[in-house]
Amino acid sequence: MKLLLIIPAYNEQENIERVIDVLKRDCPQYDYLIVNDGSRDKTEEICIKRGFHFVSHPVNLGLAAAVQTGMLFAYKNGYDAAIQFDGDGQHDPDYVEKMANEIEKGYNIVIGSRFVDKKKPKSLRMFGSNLIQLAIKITTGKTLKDPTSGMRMFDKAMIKKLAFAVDLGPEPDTVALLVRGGATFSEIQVEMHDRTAGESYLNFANSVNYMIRMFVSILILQWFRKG
Amino acid sequence: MNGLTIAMISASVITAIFVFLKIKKSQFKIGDTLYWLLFCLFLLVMSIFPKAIFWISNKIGFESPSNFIFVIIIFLLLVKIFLLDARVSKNEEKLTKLSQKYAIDNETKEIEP
Repeated sequence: MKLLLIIPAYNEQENIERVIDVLKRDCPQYDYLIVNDGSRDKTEEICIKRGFHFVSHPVNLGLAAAVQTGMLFAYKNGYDAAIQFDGDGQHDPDYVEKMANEIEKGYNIVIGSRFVDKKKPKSLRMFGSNLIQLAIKITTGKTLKDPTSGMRMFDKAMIKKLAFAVDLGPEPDTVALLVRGGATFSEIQVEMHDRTAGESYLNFANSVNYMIRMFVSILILQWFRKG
Repeated sequence: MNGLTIAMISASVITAIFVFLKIKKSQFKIGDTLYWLLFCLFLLVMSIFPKAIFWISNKIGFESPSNFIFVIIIFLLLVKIFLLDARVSKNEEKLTKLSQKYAIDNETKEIEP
């Protein structure tokens, strides 16, 4: 199976080298593509110096566009599957093969989930996760145990949709929309690492904004969009 | 002539002058000026024929004609903002598509060490 690992990178000079080195060591059988999203630090320089495979946005467009560029590349080059693999070291390459096996079984979407066998810890963040899970349950009738996991693998049909769609970003509402449109999904238990360097986007205001956006998108706007 | 009439005529004339200046400096596309010129015309007509406004505002049941005028102007501005917002979204989409194409066309292939 031809699988592409899409690594969106925005100002990841501290992480990118280590992430790619681990990836090349643990998943040498798969191709990877770094999508440098207009980084202002040395991310691009490092990629050139190390001879990594990458494309660069001329300006910063955001994570959604970066992942979409990867999907576009995967589509144009005839990949059977593509996975978003974060450039900050949170995702573990050990699980990629397991997820790829699920695609081969015929699932359209495979999610690297933290909560298949394990219980969600009780925190504000997980409360948010539960709310999104509930919203998805209401609209699709399916239970997605880790809707906010960023580790998502898509098959050929999904790649085509994601490459050309407007506003199908790497968020839970996209998965909900695709599932409502008939896509099948499977969840694989994974462990995720904490970020080792750099800053996370998540602060209180962003989280509230995120939750509202997801709720409106999944519960209301979903009915007006094409799945 | 009351104060509101004078204010509206001035606003209309000043807006018109502003639009014409922009056209002269080629900072506005002709199509985009149409809205503002019609807006000026509308203000002008309202200030020249206030009776018509009084009559309509009375019929609808506004407490004062000036409230009626405010409502109309706010509505027109909302329409404009809505159209602009749609345009911003569209432009963002175009910029994204362009950048993605540029990125993929300029792919840097892997070099084995």
